[in-house]
Amino acid sequence: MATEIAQIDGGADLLLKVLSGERLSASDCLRLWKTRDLTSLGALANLRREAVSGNAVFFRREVHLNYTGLPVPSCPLCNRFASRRLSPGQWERSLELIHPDIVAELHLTAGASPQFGLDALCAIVRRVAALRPSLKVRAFTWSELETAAEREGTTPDQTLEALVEAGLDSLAGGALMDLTPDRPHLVGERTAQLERRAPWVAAAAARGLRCEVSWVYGDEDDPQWIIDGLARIRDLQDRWGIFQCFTPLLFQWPSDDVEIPMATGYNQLRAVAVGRLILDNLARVRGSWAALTESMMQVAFWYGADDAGGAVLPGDDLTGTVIGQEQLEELIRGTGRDPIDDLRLTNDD
Amino acid sequence: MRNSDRVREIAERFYSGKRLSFEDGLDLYRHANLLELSQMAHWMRVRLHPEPAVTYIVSRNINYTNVCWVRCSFCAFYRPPGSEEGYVLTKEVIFQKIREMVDAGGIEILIQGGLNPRLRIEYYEDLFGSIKKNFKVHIHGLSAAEILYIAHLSRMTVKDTIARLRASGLDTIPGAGGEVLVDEVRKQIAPLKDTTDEWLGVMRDAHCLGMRTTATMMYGSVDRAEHRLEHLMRVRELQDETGGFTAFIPWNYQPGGTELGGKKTTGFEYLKMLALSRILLDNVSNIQASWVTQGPQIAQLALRYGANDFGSTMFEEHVVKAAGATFCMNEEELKRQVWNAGYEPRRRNTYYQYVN
Ligand code: SF4
Repeated sequence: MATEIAQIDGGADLLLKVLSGERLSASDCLRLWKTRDLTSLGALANLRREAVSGNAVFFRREVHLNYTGLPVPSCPLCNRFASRRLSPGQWERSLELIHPDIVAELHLTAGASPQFGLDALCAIVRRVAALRPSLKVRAFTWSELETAAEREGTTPDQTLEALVEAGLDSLAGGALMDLTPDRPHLVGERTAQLERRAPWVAAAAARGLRCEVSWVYGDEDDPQWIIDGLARIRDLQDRWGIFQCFTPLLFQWPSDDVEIPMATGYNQLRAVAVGRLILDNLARVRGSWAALTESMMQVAFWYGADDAGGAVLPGDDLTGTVIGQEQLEELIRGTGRDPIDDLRLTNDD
Repeated sequence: MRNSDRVREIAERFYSGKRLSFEDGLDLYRHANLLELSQMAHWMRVRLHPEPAVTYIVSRNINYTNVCWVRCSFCAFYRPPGSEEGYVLTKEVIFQKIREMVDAGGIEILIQGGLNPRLRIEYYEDLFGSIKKNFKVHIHGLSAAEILYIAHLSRMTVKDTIARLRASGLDTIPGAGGEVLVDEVRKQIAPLKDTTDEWLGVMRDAHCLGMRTTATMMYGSVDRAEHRLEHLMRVRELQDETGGFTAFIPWNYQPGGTELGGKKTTGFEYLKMLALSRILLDNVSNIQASWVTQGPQIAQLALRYGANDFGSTMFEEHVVKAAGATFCMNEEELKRQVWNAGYEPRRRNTYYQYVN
């Protein structure tokens, strides 16, 4: 592959940087985003990816629950669970259905609601811990935390302290900015939101909480802006180190009235590959079937992604599509990669 | 030899301009990674098409009849003779469809259907003749199976049948029904359909008469990798002999609503098969991406796996649609996809020459 990479504008330099583990600049990444030579971009990202995780593709056995039934503004994926509004009794019953040998992690996110203050969030976490003690709880996006803190008048640190005490294992986190269909392209606003959430990242680090991070982009977004956003995530990670996994996500909204330009396959892979190259301080890059389709997920494993997201398990319903563990492992193996159950890994540690 | 060494050895030979063998192809299929296949396929694409353009045609598919006695187990389109849902489009309806297409700037109709026992050569001569009388369009039509059946019904040789169809207005023949050109596979999925040699024979006859055709491959039903590679070899051999194929178009079996059922192979597998087609078919000029079956994302990526053509923008294709493939793309969206991949979109005719 090396010869081909050398043919892109400045490619030889970039190859040397990647091989020696040197950091790429934002302008290096912009050049890569713009190249027509997607194969070489993929090969560069794949070099980094294999240096970090070899031939592995990680996945989790997880179940999603949305306890308010409201759309989640910072995550197009969590959004898809919004349609089912669950009463407290209903979601407790769903919890009881979860088989602890099959499901390892509960992914608990929701659209923020003023009815759910900090006490309510803590109560939910405590209830899960009591009902299903073996389940890891990954919960809450930044906007849920903000809303709860605002209602209670607590600082980020106090908010997170209370949740950790209740039994929270890690944060869902998600995008550092919220998006709604009426303002998906207000770039300035999105950036401002990112800055407002930086103190939450610091507070989470202080409490030993880790989280996932995503970047939500529109297919017509200026690449410069996407890359600046990724560089900002890299800064935060340098400082706080709490991000476990990066997911690039195309903006979507659960409504037929909102027309959003279809993502091109090139842009989806550019986001994965450039994300991998720029975020050199972050271990995992996700290309999940839920975000990309099964086929694009498989391809992404060769363009920098080493994480398939969750095997979504019975009892869960993601717009009608459910991919169980066996099927997910088969899809991963079909690409020549080795599937690794993430939580089995941490539990054995 | 280690697998990676074997891949490197094949790649070196390939990049020095040598033709690869069946065994080389099989080893690439088994051991080369996705990026290696992309790079090799793209190398061949640039060698054959150095200009950074992607072609497409504005055309319309017309399925003139769905009546068919063959009952292929992978087909969700046909209705057996006597079925209430069977149809034969009237000339008025066909003309109406052509008029709409011509008004939208289209230049080609792709006219295909089932093997309908009621339709003899006179029907086709009349249809093609009157289309040509009324419209200035290119007729890309029928398939090897239809031509063999027309010849049989009309008690004529295949060559004479093609010659008469051509005289009445048929310009080129799509290479549909190629499925996988290995009788072991064909017997399982379409026992009543033409054999490999019959299919190739129709293509050879057409080429000898000076007509151009395409070739297709429908993989992913009961076939194994060896079968697909054998298919590529058969196409390459005939192309060496006649040079009559304009393009090669692989796609995967679409199981929805078919008797055969089974699972659909993924876009990952498609990109591999597409790349291998480009790598091995060094004598077929064009490779077409199938966004109808693969969806826009994988089809766009196909441009890095050997494809230099995006097929047709206008979509009315009941055969694949009946089996659940319903991706749709208008010309604007198609152009956006091509630009986004770094290429210039260019309209073409059926001979893959630029138009406008
Ligand atoms: S594939 Fe063609 S020949 Fe076979 S049943 Fe369908 S229409 Fe008939």
